[in-house]
Amino acid sequence: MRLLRKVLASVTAVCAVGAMSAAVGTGAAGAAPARHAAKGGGVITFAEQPGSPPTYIFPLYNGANSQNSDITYLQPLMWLPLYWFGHPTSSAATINYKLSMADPPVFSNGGKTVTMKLKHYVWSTGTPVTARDVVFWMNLVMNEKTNYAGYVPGGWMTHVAGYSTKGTTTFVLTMTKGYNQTYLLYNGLATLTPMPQQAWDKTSASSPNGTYDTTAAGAKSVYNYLNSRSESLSTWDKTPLWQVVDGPWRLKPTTGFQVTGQVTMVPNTKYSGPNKAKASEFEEVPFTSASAEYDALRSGSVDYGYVPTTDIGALASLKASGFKVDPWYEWGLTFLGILFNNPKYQALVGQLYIRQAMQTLINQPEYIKTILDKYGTPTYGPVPTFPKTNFLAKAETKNPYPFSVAKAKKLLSSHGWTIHVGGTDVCAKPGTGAGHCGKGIAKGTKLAVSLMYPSGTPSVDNEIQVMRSTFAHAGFHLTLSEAPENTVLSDSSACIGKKAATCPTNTPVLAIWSSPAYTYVPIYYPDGTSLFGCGGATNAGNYCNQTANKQLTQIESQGNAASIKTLYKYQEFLAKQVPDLWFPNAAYQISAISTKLKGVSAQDSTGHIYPETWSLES
Amino acid sequence: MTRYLARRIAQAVAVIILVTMIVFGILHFLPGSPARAMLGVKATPGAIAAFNKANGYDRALPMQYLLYMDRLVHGNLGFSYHLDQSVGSLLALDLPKTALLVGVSYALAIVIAIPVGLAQALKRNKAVDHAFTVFAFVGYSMPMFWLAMLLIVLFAVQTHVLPAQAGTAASSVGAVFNNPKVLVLPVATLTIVTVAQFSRFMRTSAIDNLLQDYIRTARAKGLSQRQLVTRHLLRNSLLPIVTLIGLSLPAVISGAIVVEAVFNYPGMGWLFWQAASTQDYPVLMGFTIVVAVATVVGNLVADVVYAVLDPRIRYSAT
Repeated sequence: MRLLRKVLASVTAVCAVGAMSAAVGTGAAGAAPARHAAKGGGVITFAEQPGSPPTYIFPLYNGANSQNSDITYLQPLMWLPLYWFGHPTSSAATINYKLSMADPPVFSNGGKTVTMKLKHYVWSTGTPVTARDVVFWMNLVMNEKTNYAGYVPGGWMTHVAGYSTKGTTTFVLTMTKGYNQTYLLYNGLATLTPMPQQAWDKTSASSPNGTYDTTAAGAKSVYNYLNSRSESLSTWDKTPLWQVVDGPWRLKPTTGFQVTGQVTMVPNTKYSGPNKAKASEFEEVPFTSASAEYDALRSGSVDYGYVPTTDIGALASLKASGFKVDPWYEWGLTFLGILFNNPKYQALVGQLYIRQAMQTLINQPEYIKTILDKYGTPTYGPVPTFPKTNFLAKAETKNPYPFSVAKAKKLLSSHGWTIHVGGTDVCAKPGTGAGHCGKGIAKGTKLAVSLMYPSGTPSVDNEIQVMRSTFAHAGFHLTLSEAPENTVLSDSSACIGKKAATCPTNTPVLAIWSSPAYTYVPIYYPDGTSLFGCGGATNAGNYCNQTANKQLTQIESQGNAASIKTLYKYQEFLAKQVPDLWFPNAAYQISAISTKLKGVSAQDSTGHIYPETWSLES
Repeated sequence: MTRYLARRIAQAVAVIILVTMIVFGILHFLPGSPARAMLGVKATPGAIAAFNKANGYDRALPMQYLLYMDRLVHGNLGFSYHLDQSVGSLLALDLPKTALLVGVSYALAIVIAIPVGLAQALKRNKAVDHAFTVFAFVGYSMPMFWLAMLLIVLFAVQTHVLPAQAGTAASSVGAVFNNPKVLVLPVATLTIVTVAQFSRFMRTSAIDNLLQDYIRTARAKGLSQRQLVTRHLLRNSLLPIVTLIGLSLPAVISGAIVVEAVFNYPGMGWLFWQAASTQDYPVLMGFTIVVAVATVVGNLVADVVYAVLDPRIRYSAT
């Protein structure tokens, strides 16, 4: 009995020591309220998306490093593009000349020559930002096109005839063909980013600064050097290169970055643009999961974070504890891709009336209301319906195919299909005439296709399950398969650019990989050339319509007034053509912003953040 | 014993090579592609081809494997294209953090579970036994993430006594030592679950031994309860626990995905999860090799300790 008591006493002691060490070890330090006080009102904490730490600091980034944590949360705070898109006070994805480093571009020579005059900006070294710094960018990007995420084969970079400086502050770009001004501004000029030629034109750490970028070989060497420095994450905050900035922020020297993704920025005291930083530090904090972030948010250690979609029901308590909740939408769209060159199913999806029937069976308003908890926007065509811009045609603000099972059934039955509610419709009248199933559809063909969707996204899962059920009401059978997002993306892109004969028949006919599925960043013009143009670089479904293709060509080359009219016609045409199934666009994140954080008046749909305009109330 | 050890080490090397072959093959037959996973929806066919060429994925699989092994024997574990860092540096960063988290949890669990299990055995079917049995069943059946959530709500959200997440404080093992309070909740979560498991094994083992003839003999010879427990019961009852601890070594290395995710403590488990979701083959392979080595070593150590604890066990080199 004595022994037992000792055993129990030892257990109790171990537990007690643990508890005591916990209490002693934490005290007030772990407590959330103390954190704000400790920050003295000057350190703003911003939550990164889970599992998405910054991985690339060099602003000439490749496709593998084009996540928001790199291209909108990190690089633009330190290196400003020549033309800034997005606004701190609205969600509009439009040009912002006030925050741009150059005056509006002047087009001449039939739209072939563009002249850009830089405003007075200085590098953190004190030297002015010059047109030569833009040439430095151009020299590197033109020689490393395939390593730049903004490069689109056949796009504007393919048609660059030359570029030069005129004086120290004017940059001149010459194209081989005349471009629509808005189109080139949004897709081409938007990517120009002056880089500090005097500090970065090096081929190694020991090489002196020079003009290596002026030759193709030299430009490649400079790129390789800067790329290698960028891939050395542990040295970002110790490398003098990355301390030369022209944006409002710079990495805090020696402790500004940790390879786990923690970013600490301090104001660039030499910043010469508008909106000088108010906070003393800006921290971006990595998270392993959305729930970990939410716990941190609720315990008060994050000022600007997000609510996991699974916790949307608990918003009232979050608001009560001092947070405002605001959905953040991206400049993009969501759709279920349709594969047009699957040899087994191309006859089915090639019929417009079948695509129209499918679209009619998708109840976007209801999905947004009940599944996305109202945190979603509808997609009716290639131009995002939110935020509203001049690019959006009136016709595209309305659903061309409102939800109606009856209409879908009528569409199918009027084209020779025998409807089997809850089962699978069968083609009863093959042929190409009116009231027949259409070209290539044999008698007895079943109305059934495969649909692949991503695992791990409850809202998409719910939408797809409801969709299958609704489709079944019209006798349209969907065979669902679930896979990780990258598998969906990979499988649904397997036939890109292929002829039907070489496309495997088991390639999914319908696929959705994420919501939003596609963003117009950093190529801001919302026509979706690469998605819907014949042979488009990312046209995974191989949709090709000559009318739409002709309109795309006109949009690119017409004058502004004519081009926007063509864009309206194009989006109305495409919305009705259903090149894919338009689907609700979920919010990028449901942001939770501390009421102590002042100055956050809007969330930019281009993904940019403006911590220089924020301040923390103690 | 020396010959036995030599034979076991040779077997271990063979096992590890076999594991690399199997894992390498399985990874490359998984659906999807690392190029798509990395480059995303906007990747052009040209960009994908360039990625595959740069990473050697355009070569035949056996050649890819041989090149990988060649780099491996030269100490190069590869480069993570998702995290833009060498696999060696990622493992060097995360392994010590995970070893600290899981190691401390297991150490605490052992220190608590052994006396608890013994106490339950000695007071079988009494109130003490029932109380710890309830604790063990609740602890073991409760999902780990749920337990973690409860602790967070109680100690971080409601009372602000402890931090809800490690975050910056877990950027390196040095940072964790500088701010040890971030370990308290994740360690407590792992420890509670592990105590529940270990104490049941200890209880069962001790009860089995209490029924053995040698215990009755020892009692008949007039040994006190303390001598009986410390000299005979404890030592013999520890044998299954030793096996458990040996098998736990891989867990110390591979981490605890759930706890790391919930407490924002980026370690080996989280690294593996990230790599799996982005098809980051170099990281997956590097991780697998390290865990395979840990598994083999853990088993080897358990066997040796087994022999030390139980003099009846003799290993033959033949």
